[in-house]
Amino acid sequence: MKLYVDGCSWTWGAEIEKYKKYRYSTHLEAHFGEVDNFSQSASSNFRIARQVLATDMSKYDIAFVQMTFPARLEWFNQEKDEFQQIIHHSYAPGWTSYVNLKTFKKILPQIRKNRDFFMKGKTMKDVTIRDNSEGDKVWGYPIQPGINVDENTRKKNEKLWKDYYKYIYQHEFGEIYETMFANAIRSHCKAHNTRLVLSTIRGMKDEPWYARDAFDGPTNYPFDFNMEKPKYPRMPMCHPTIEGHKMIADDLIECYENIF
Amino acid sequence: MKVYVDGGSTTHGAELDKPEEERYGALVADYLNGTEHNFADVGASNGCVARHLLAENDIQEYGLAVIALTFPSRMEWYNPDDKRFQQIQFHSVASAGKHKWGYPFITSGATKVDVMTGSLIDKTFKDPEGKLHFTKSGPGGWKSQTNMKFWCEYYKRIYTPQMGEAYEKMWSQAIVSHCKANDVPLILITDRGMVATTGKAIAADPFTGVTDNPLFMLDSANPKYPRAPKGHPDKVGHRMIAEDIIAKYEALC
Repeated sequence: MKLYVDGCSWTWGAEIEKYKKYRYSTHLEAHFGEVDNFSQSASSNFRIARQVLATDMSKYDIAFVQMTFPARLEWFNQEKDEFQQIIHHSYAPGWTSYVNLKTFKKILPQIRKNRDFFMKGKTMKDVTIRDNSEGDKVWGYPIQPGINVDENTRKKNEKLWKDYYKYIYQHEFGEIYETMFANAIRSHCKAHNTRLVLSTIRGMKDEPWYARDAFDGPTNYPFDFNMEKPKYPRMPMCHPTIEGHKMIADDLIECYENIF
Repeated sequence: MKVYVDGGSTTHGAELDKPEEERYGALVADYLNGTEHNFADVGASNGCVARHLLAENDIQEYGLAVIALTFPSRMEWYNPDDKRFQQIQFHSVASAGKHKWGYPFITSGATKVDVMTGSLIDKTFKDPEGKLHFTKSGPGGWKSQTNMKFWCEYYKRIYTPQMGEAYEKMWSQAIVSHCKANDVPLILITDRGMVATTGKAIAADPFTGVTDNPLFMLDSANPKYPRAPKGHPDKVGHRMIAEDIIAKYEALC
């Protein structure tokens, strides 16, 4: 069998040395067959959907697609002739690392407080109205104005993207575009008779209520699989450890077998 | 049969006296003894058209989908005060019909900055012959000067034709796959102009130019369709478009 795999840094294997050996898609390859892993660190849902929809999925028997935080965007850098990703996260406690359930429970009050702050509606401006470039360690996180962007482009575009998150971006936009992309990915796979397991790293509201990123919060979309489970051990920047990737792979295989 | 219809102002029936009777979606539905369900709106972006299909409607309820994509440079944003999405549009006033230089001028590489330097509102710019012309940025969805400034900067510094083309391909493929997955016949239309039907330099809007996307089955900017004063198809034009849609639908069946 041939597998299509896509996603952001989680699927790419961030924070792991020899990531190609230990990331979850390698375990899927050992179980199912050859894998093409198209993931990129810091990917937006725009990039993931664009990649899936540009692919002839009839070449693949199974697709494991992991969607990411809906606030991420992308733009096309003409000078480098490539799309680059824009990410905005909060530095709030919900985003800080936790390595196991015990640690998670310890910081639960912080996470809950943080989530309440972000879920009250008027909080986006509170988060972004400051100069985030210095990294407000409590509520703000520097907006990353493009991955692999040169310093001039970064400076030139940074204010614009701050303004975007400050004045234009709304959670409603992120949520409905997540639904659009998810449904488009489902239909594209179905139209090509490719079996799909669609996952999220946001956290799901019908599972433990916390979210990986407090700015985005958990999702309402009915994903097949939630990778944001406290049982998966984490690296310092919150990506799964080698052991975590193995556990995710085992759970994805079980999820696949339950669906198909 | 319920006919799902969506698109921009052309599909909405702009410049028609009785759009709900004379637009091509209604004519196609009449021919099929069906009912037209038209979600098109003036100024709609491709994201808006995709949103209606992928997130806000159930295409399984319909027997046919007739969907037109518009100009890829259009955007949308969610207005939290009005609690609805609003459309952002940027077009050059230079029209292919009146200014043959418009399309090659704007797509020749360095010209986007020429077009968009400074405020886009009533901004003048020079054509290759030194004549002054105006660009217009549509006020759709702008609730304040702050937002207007942002979108001006966005078109000046961030938006590129490559981005528009890539997203047109993405949304068109999403629409094709969604209809196929739900077993609903689809006639996919472009309002931009197609190389295959209009030749190399005739575009409904010179800023975005023509498309060579093979997923499009029909080109509403085809010069054979007669036009109303502001460039939308007139009553006869809509009838001709409807006839072409029906022919393509019958070829599919």
